[in-house]
Amino acid sequence: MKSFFYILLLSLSSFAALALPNGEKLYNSHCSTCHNTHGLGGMGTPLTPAKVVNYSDEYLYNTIRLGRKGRIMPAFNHLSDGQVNAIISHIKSWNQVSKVVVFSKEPIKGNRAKGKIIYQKKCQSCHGENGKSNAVGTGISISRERKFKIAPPDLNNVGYLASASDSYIKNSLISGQIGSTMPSIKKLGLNDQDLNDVISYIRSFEQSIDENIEPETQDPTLIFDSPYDFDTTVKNLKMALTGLNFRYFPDRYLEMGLGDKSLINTKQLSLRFCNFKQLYQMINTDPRLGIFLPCRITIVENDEGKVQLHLMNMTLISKLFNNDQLTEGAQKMHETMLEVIDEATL
Amino acid sequence: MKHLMKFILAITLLWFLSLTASAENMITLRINNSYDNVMISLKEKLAEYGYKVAHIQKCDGGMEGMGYKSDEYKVVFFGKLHEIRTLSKKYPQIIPYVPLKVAVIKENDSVVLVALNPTALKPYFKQEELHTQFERWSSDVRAIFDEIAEAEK
Repeated sequence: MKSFFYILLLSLSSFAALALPNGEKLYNSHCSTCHNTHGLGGMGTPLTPAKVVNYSDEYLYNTIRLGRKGRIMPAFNHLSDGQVNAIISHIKSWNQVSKVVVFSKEPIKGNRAKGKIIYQKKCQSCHGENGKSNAVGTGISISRERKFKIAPPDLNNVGYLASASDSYIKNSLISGQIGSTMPSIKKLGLNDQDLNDVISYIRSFEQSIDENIEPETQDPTLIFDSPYDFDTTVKNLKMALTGLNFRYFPDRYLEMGLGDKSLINTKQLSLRFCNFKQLYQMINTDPRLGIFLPCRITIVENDEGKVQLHLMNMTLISKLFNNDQLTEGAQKMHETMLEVIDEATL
Repeated sequence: MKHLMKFILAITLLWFLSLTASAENMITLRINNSYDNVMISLKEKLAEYGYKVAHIQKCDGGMEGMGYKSDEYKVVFFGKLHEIRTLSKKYPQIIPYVPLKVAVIKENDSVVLVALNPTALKPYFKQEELHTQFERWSSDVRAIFDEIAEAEK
């Protein structure tokens, strides 16, 4: 009878272990694309021992749950608490962090006006005016050249401000960020009161959160009629693109490469084009941009002989990337493409 | 009054936080393998799922030609002719979103695959038939990425 209970207990604990979320697997599926294997960093900030040692579980939990609005890191609100905690344990396990870091939630009082002056002198060159980072892109630079090796975070980010308590921010300022250009603020000759003043100023960013760029239309595709025939429309578009410093690529039909050459619809032509300077800037902003590439306008002649131009609503779709810098770039590109279409269909 | 201000601020913050994009908008994968091997695996898996690679757009060449530093970066276009033909005729708004794409990005010793999750387009397209198609594409891309990841173990 006794052994029966032991077996039952053992079986139950085995089932419980099996049911526990697997932090490594979850990290690999949800985090490693950006934060890289073992937190080496990529589009996402590095999660190396030197950094993670200063993160409290609460800070990590809130960061995973809330994300960083407009800075790529999405909100993982579809994961269970157990899954989020398993990811946190995994990150801490490979870093062999035994120290438990807990930060007080008590607000720190300081002089905001004095903090602003210190911030402007000591922090603004990296963290930007009003806490909006001066970096292009996020995380670390790997395959392309950027000003900062590790992008300074937006200190005015709503996700950051909701995740970081005043004590957490103070600890970050004191510790500095190893591997980045962020020094310990104490090395900059600041005293405890100065730190409190800076924190008070950073906390004030909560009241000045940027409005988002809202697309003019929620239509995913912009469709324009052309008053010209198919060939003339294509020719006009090419001329307009050249005039606006775009390089266009050889013609491709929409169905090209998918089936027998002789059977493809030649009245659906994707005109693909690029401005490499803009492309470079935008890929630095967000390497996932490839999903948009190359820029294209599709010219379609329907069964009634009507010629139309089809264009992705880039401003709208860029919102899916959760990257405000990308959305700004996409909006500019969107406007340029409208200019091209305007010129071609005049 | 101070409490009321704090309450309004907290509500505003919560509203802004609710606007943060969901993690489900992209389907991504990081693989620790050579770029060429990942490209081969991707093409093989796409074929297994009945997709044809229509075209591979090399993006890094043009950038390097203009003097910029860039590692390997390609975009793989893929699809099924009958799907693209039928959908583009019936729902021309889908044209800029087909063929489907996967960006293949080299980062040091690993390769990152990124695809827009087709289901992320659902809020912008009202047609039920397109929603079903988006679900099917999403499920296929996820399965393809999962199988590539599994093969690496």
